Amino acid sequence: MVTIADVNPFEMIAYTGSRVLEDNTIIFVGTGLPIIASMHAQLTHAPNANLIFEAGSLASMLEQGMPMSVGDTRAFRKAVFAKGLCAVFELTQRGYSDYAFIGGAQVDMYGNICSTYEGGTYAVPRVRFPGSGGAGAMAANCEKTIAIMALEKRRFVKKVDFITSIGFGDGAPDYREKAGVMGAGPYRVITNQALFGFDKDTRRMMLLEYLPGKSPEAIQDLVDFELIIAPDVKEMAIPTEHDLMLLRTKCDPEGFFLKRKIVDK
Amino acid sequence: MSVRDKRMSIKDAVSRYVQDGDSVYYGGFQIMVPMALTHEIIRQRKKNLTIFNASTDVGGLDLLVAAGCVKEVHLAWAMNWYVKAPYAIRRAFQAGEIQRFDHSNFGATTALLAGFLGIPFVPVRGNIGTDIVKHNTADLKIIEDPFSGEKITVARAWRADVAIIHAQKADPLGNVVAWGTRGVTDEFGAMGSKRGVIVTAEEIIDTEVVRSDPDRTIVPYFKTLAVVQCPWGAHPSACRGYYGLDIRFCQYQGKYERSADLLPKFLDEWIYGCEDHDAYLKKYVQMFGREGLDRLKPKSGFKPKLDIDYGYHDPAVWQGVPQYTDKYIRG
Repeated sequence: MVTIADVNPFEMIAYTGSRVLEDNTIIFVGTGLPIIASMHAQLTHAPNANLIFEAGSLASMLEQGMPMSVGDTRAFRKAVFAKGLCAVFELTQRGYSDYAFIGGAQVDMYGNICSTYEGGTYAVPRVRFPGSGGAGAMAANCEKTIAIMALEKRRFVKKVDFITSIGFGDGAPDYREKAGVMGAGPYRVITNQALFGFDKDTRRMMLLEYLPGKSPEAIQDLVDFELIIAPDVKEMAIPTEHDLMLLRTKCDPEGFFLKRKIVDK
Repeated sequence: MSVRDKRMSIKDAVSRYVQDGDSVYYGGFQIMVPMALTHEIIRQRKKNLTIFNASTDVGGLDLLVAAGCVKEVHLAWAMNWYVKAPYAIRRAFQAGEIQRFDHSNFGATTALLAGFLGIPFVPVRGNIGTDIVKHNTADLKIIEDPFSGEKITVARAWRADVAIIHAQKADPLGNVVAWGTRGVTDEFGAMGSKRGVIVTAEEIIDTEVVRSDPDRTIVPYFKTLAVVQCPWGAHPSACRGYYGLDIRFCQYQGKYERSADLLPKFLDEWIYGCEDHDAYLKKYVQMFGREGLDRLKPKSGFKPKLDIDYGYHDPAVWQGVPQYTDKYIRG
């Protein structure tokens, strides 16, 4: 029997990410944990979920293992469609991608995400990040945005320093419509300690699930804005031994992203 | 648009066709990064370059910035993913030594597409409502769609003075052939460039071979300024069909990138201290063994199973064939 002590934070994120993906969808994946989560979903409940990799491939077969990045040659193995980066973003602009699966450095209660800088100003930032990459356009034009981030107060902020990837903006009901984007917007935020969704009426972030042993109050303490707590809030599901085996031996055997630690039993 | 043999050394290609102050389309993505050309530009100490690119990995741009070649970057993402940051770019940006204009990847490729199409801008969804469009008004504007009246962003066409790319094959005339993992669609940046493209290629092929499969040509001869035969020219990034990503070397180089004190030593040892890309490869083999490179080669081939045949149609078959007629259409 697997207990939460057997599962490291990255495995928890990857497994939770996998759980939220539906079969027969098209997932536009970012590098790292989104790829691992999607591979796990394909190996379990979503064999017909197909991936778009930003370097331009659609529905490749990941039989050579985890692509190290979205531009890895492995991400193109036996794809059915392989054009360039612009071509896959054109697909999203035509409405053909169900999920944007992205990361970021900060998120606010309306699901706006910053991956540009933290602290200071745009011109003189305290820490400058690599930049939008594909995330900005993915969050705009894929139907649902799933974000992955570590649960920390400095990341779950009242106001992001820079909106790199559009969420629900200032929360106005027509913010996205006015922006002319294709997708419905933020759908899930996945962390090692909690799974968040968004309240339909207010478009604010809502706690759906928390790590076994934690509590909604403990999660709130790690978030700088007021969370809505789902009426049916519950504990997160823990991966089974089979799930862990898949994550550790099929999805990321070198532990490049999962960085699993050896658990002494 | 002269038809001539454009093969030359990488040294000649860069000294003739990259000028101080140029804007440069920097090819590749997380694959096919023009690393040999990057090194040569650093070796020749080019200055004040403006870089146009969507996203770039393996730290090539980080090295260019560290070497003081760059004054301005327009892009969506720059990284050496294998150490999780572009440290030299970060230091330069935070010290105010380079200017940075942020885009998203779609915005950036749309800017390249506009240049490719030869038009001033292209509308693109997905910037309104973000801070990118507020801060990068040099590359993005919000306008009213003249047909629907709705707001839409437009991306200014990026037309660099010169493009640098790496490809699998090219012929002596400059027809460039590439396939597989494409990334940032180098034909956009190359065809949209003002003066033309410098290409390094794994192999030089006969023009007759290009003519047998023209679907695969991404840049036709007249747009090409220089053709450099340069095996391993994208190393440590991958070149589909020739070699995969050299993760260990990316990590090794990245550890230098991390440290402002150490990075000049990497530039000295691996770039200034190497006469050309062959010398860089020799150094690699000396340090990490031939097996370091052999490891990157494909284990087996993966050739298309589609039986592609363009066919030859003989016009002689129409000789003596009368016009088709019927009761309405008379000959």
